[in-house]
This record gives sequence, C-alpha cells and structure tokens, in this order.
Amino acid sequence: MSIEIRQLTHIYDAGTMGEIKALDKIDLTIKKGNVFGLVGGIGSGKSTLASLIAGLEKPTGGRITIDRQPPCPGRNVGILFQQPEDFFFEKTLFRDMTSGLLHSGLAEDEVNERINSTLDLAGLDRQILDQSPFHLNRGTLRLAAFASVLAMRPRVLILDEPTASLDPMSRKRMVEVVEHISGDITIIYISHRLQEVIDVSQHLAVLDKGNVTFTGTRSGYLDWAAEQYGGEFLPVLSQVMYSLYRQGFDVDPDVTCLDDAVEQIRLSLEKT
Amino acid sequence: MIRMYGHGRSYMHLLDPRTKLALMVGVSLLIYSARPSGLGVLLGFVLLLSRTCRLPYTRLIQGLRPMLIFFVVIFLTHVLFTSGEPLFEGLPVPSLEGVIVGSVLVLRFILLILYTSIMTYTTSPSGLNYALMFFLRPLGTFGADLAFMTGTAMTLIPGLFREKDIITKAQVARGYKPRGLKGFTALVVPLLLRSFRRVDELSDSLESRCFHSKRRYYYYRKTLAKRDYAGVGIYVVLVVVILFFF
Ligand SMILES: Nc1ncnc2c1ncn2[C@@H]1O[C@H](COP(=O)(O)OP(=O)(O)OP(=O)(O)O)[C@@H](O)[C@H]1O
Ligand SMILES: [Mg+2]
Repeated sequence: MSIEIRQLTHIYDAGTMGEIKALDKIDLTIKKGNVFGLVGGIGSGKSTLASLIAGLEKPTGGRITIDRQPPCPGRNVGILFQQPEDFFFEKTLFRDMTSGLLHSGLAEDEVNERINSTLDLAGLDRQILDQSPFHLNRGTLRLAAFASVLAMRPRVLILDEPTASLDPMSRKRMVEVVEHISGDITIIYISHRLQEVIDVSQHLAVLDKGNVTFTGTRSGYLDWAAEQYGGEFLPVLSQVMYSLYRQGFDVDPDVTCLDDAVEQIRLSLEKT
Repeated sequence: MIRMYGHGRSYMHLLDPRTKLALMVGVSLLIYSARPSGLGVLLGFVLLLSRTCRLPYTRLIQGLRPMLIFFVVIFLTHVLFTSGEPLFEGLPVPSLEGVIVGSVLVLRFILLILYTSIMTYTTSPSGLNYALMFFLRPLGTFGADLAFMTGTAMTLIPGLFREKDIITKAQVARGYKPRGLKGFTALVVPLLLRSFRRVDELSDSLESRCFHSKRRYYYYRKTLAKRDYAGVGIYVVLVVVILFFF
C-alpha cells in the first residue's frame, strides 16, 4: 500500500481575487505500513493535503493514488480531524459509533465485533459505550473518536493533530495507540509537536507555504533540521546529542530514545 | 451571499463601504421601480460589475441557489392567482398576464440578490459593519448595538460555513452519509455545539476586554475619495438611462 502524490496543486476559491494557493505542485511517495510524519508551520497546507489524500476534496490539479486506486473515504482511507470529540451527537457512545458503520451497510454482528475490537485497540473500557458522549472527558472521547474511525478498517489513516489540546496522560496514550496499530496500516501523522512526530514516524515530510521542503527518513530529517535551523526547534534530546557529536564525542546524533542516548554517552565516556 | 467576501483591489473593492451601502439602497429602489426593459439594463450592468471585480459568473449565480424555492413559490403564486387571458383554452389559469408578472417579479428578486452578492463580495464584513454603523448613528446606542450585532454575526458566519464543511467531512469519514435525517443530525448537533462554544468564547473575550454596550467602539473616520463621487455619478447616469430611456 503506497500512496503516490504527483504534481498536486490545490487552490481555494480559484478564479477569484481572494484565491489561496494551499498546495503548489507537490510530489510525495508514502510507503506502506509506516508512520509518515507531516510537519510545517501554521497554514502551510497540512490539513489541505490531509483532506485531499482522504478523498474528501477534489484537487485543483495533480493526482493522488493509494495502491493505484483513487482515494475513497470510508473505503481505503480514513481521517481523524482536529478536535474530533465534537463530532459525537447520539445519546450513547455505542449508538454513535455503530450507526455510522450500519449506515455504510455492514451487518450488525460485524459492527459489534469491530467496535469491540477497536475499543480494545484504543485501550478503552467497553463500559463507556453505554455512557453519553457529552459526559465523557476529552481525552477518552478523543480516543473513542479515533476508535470510531479505526472501526471503518481503513488501510491508510490520516491523523490531523491527534494530540492537540490533550493533557500529557491522554497524549501519551494516543501516541501509544498509534505506535501499536502502525505496521498494519499506513498512518499519516500531522502535528506541531516535533518531539511527538519524531518519536512515532519513520519518514517525514516538511511543508512550507504549500511546497515540500524536505522529505526523507527520520535521521535524514534530523540532519536536515540541524543544518537548516541549527536544530533550534528540535527536541532537547536531539539538540544535546548533536552538540556532543559536534564536540567530538562518539555518539549517534540521531537517537531519539532517552535510554539509548544515555547508553551511548556512557560508552563514549568510557572510551575516552 | 454573506460568505462570499473575496479580497481584492478592483474599483468596486476600493469604493468606500458607505458609498457601496448607499448605492445598494439606491440600486434596490431602481430595481423596484424599473420597467422590464430597464431590468435588462440592470442585468447587463451587474454582469459588467462582476467582470470588473473578477467574480466568476458561476460564483455569482451560486448565490441564487438557496433562494430557488422562494423564486418558484413567487412565480407559481402569480401564475395561479392572476386572472387574464388564459394560455390554454378552457382553463382559467395560467394566464399570460400571470406568467409575465411572475417572471418580472422573480427577475427583480434575482437582480436584488446579484447586486447584494457583488457588494458582499467586494466589501469586508468589518467594512460593511462600519458603513452600517455610520448610517445608524441617528439611532444612538440602539443603532450602535444593532450594527455591532450584525457585524459580529457577519464575522462569525464564514467560520460557520467552514466548520460545516469540516464536520460533514468528518462524519463522512466515520461512515455517515450527508443525507437524510441521520445525516442532518450528524451535522447540526456538532455544528451547534461548536457555534455555542465559539459564541461563548467570544462573549468572554469581549467581557475580559471591558466591552460595554453603552460606549462607542468605532473611531476611525474616512473621508470619501474621488472614486466615490465617480460611483455616485455612474449611479445617476444609470438612473437617468433606465427611467427615461427604457
Ligand atoms: N476551506 C477553506 N477555504 C479557503 N481557504 C482555506 C480553507 N482551508 C484552508 N484554507 C487556507 O489554505 C491554507 C492552508 O491551510 P491548511 O489548513 O491546510 O494549513 P495547515 O498546515 O493545516 O495549518 P494549521 O497548522 O493551522 O492546521 C491557509 O492559508 C488557509 O487559510
Ligand atoms: Mg491544520
């Protein structure tokens, strides 16, 4: 399952004086079964790209294919929007999560099975199904919204700032679930939190004013960012490792896990 | 209609919002009083305006869509309730007069909406609000409140449409079809929820910045430019042409 994006352009309000070029002829290839991080400043076009990959909007120009098929929402691709916890509206969470699936033509047994298994995946207690979505806390609701998109069994899943405005505990759980499910499905992970994106994704792309300014592996990104901004926006751990590396310590500047970093520093100190 | 504002620097964009609002009222009167042939001139003129401010015709016409049922009802009422020369032998309605009267009235409404669209497309909500405020000055505090309320509503509306877009997409992604009663609830409940929250935030932020309805909040004054007088001139020419030559 790879996603091919060729010469993709998207212009809002095309043909009027207020037209906004949100994406400008971008090319990207997103490989199967990975977490692909998408970062970039405010208004750089991330959410636009997400909508287009999800097939929810038609691009002004260019082409997107998922395994050579056009994207079809609810079929081969799913998307979790910003602040998805607002989208619940039924009396109970159960009805909310099931009726969309029933709507799309699945049998009842199948729906129940899917809901239960995705709740397990998301690490949620099945008992919350009987509660009103308006009484659950934001973190739980966010995970439930996540589960409700997962229950559509997409092969590509787009997460648009899944951890924004969550408390650290809920955020950690969200990231854990993402790591847990990746491998089976291709995930596109959009976030302003660099640390998080670097933690979860194997490949990254950077958008800037509708252009792709970087695409490559995680370590490639760390090198690129270090060169570009002197690593200023990188996670503290990466900054420390880069600094040590530049001062001649024998460490790998691209480690992202604290334990590995400590181990490397220890080894390199022993050597000197 | 209201969500159509598009930034630009055309003649229409640069006109003072007060001039545009006043001319809009003037044009409405003209639409109301012109004869059918005069309506043709007004239609030509609005298409010309749309050209000069680079609003594509498709977008201009899109503004009519929400009013379609209204047009049909008006047209049918006139066709069915105006007596006159019958179109079909033996049937009292529809009459030729009914069809003509109905069509002309619908055309008047269409023109009204097209001109309003041009105005909203070329005037930012805050500009429109300023103009409204200006003309409501004689009403004192009440006028200020009125202008403030419409202004606030107008700034919130484009956000509402964008929100509606996002919610529809999000629900489709969860398997809901944007049709039927279920599709409707799936859209409306979250939309209300988000709107209430936004309005709540807005009122909190106003309060925290010491907003009181008793005070005046519009301080900037602009003098009219030459193009505003030119705009009024064009309007006068239009009035003369339509009322005396058509
Ligand atoms: N529905 C829309 N209509 C018109 N313009 C839009 C619409 N959605 C986005 N835009 C514009 O397109 C550009 C890209 O927006 P987009 O939402 O894709 O950016 P983003 O990278 O997701 O930003 P953020 O980090 O704030 O979420 C922005 O200039 C934005 O104002
Ligand atoms: Mg976004």
